[in-house]
Amino acid sequence: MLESLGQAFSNFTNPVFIYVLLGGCLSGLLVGIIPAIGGLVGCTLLLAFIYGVPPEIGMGLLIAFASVTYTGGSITTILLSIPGTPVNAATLIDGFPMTRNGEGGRALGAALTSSGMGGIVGGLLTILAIPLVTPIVMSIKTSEMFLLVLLGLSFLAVLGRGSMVKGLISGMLGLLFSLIGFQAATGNPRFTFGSLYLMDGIDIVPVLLGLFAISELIELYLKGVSRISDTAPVKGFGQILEGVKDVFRHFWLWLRSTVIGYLIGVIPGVGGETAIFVAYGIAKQTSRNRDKFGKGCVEGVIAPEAANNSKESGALLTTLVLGIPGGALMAVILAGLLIVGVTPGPKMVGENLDLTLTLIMIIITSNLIGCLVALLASPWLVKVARIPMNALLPMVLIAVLTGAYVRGESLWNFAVLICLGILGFFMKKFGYSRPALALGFVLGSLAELYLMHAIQLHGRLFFLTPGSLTIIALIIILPLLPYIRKVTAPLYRRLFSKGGEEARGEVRS
Amino acid sequence: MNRHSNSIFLVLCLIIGLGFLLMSINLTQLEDKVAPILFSVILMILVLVELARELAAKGTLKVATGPVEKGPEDKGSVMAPRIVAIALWLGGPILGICLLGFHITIPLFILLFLTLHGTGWLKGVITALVTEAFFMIICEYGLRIHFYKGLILELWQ
Repeated sequence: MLESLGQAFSNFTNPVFIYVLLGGCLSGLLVGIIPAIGGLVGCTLLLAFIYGVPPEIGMGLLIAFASVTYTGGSITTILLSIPGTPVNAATLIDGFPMTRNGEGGRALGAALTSSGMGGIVGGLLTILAIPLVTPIVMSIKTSEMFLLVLLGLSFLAVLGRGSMVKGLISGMLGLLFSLIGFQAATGNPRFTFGSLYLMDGIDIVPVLLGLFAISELIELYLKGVSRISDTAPVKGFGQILEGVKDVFRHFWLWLRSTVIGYLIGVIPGVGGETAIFVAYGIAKQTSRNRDKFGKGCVEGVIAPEAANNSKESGALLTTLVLGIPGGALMAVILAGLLIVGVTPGPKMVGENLDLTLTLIMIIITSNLIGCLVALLASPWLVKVARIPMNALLPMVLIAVLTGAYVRGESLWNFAVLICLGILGFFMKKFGYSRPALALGFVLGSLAELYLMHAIQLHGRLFFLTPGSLTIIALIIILPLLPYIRKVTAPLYRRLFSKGGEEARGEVRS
Repeated sequence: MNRHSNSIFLVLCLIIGLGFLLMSINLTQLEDKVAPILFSVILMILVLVELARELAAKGTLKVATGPVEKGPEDKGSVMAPRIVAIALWLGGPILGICLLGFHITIPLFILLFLTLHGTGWLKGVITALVTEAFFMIICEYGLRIHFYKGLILELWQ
């Protein structure tokens, strides 16, 4: 562990690495500030450009970018009441009222400090968690890895948004699409219809760009998103400094929210919004100023922002060591790992531990840089949000087309891009989970490889090992959770209601 | 949510699953067949379950209890011209890239889009040139990406 930590630190002495880190941070901040574009589209675009670069550089750029988009998003959330990213929604509840009350700078200072520190502590928690999870991860067999992929899909489908069955349908579609091309073990072409393009399989980048970027662009254009007319002024750095001090005044609130965000982030499929709203809800319940929440209470800004950034470190740990992403953004990070030639799983705490530690240290450093830059430059950064959407749309489209083309330099990528874009648009319209399809596609080829290895090593009854049976039980129980709750709720109410003493066997004389 | 459209979408998924299943059965080696057969059968079962739920739902649609991804409002004929417009704005640059290449299509598309959406000619030209310069400097020279020159130019040469 110490040797890997040393190797991870040594990456920070590489000037190219530092430039990439700074570039990722600054572009992540800017993209996070622009409403309706978001970190997901930005990260997906970056995928096209990390092919062929060393893993620490490629993933460094991606992770640095992803770590600070929510920090940038909180600026427009607080000053303009427009969440820069969906997970900034809880900050809006108290952040914008504070701006209306003339305390916009204070809210900004509190939000940026809370999120920056939350991200740093989240990274440190992940480093501490690695020795604890290593024995568990190392004991996972190949047969169980295949089932873990199915479990990850179940998590996304069941715990994510929308109908469970629809989520599973999305996941299965993704798995099927991933099988197009040469079979890895036998080298036989499948579902290619004789096409040379399909022999290599469908590329990840146009699929993800189509699903997330093109579908969002279609929706934006159809909605007719207009320009944001005015920016709220930030009255000097004195207010911002006051907000910074607020985080330390409410230190235990901040720490509790950070830990809550981290722990929820570790659970795959739950999603970022859950972490921030749980943190907000607990902050409100435990506050002495409960009735001020929703009217401009600084605690209502500190709690969700702390959870916002700390959850990413937790989600990254699960993504790296188990290959189960927490949501769409982590599915893109997972795709990035595969593009740079790194397979997630037990190796990430074994021979690739230095890369894992490098990525976590990037999260820590990015949050520090992002927080400082945002604190100093927020009154000017917010002007980026004033760029008319009609000017941004064509440039984002050109960037998406370029990104889709770059991988493989094939015009057929455009066909994939448009098809998946239209599919993604309708999936969103009908309530199907696009992250589940993305995850199925990203992990499909790995899943098949694990399945083949499992059959070769353990025979057709590979799923009868204790670990496999445990995972199968989870896969079966997870979709049944809503029904189990329905059945047990009346029993629970009966046992713990006022007249429940008899049911509990309590006898009173 | 349009239940009829959702059912069409489900039928499409069923056809995809059935297609994969039939093609998988014709594969010669067992290692090639196992995964696609497994995934396509699971997909078809799930689709049939969802279709059955759709058919069983009486009257209005059941609304999902958790928060769902919200799509745009279905405004029928008001949306039709915008759908045609987005089809042109998506298909146009792709066709342009195929025929004329990136370096001509990028500035042309940006100029057209901005001027047709209310931005002045001068701003449109400046934005188009700046974007083209960015792509040339960062992508072509910096990242050494070889942009497609277009079918017409390739035939010319």
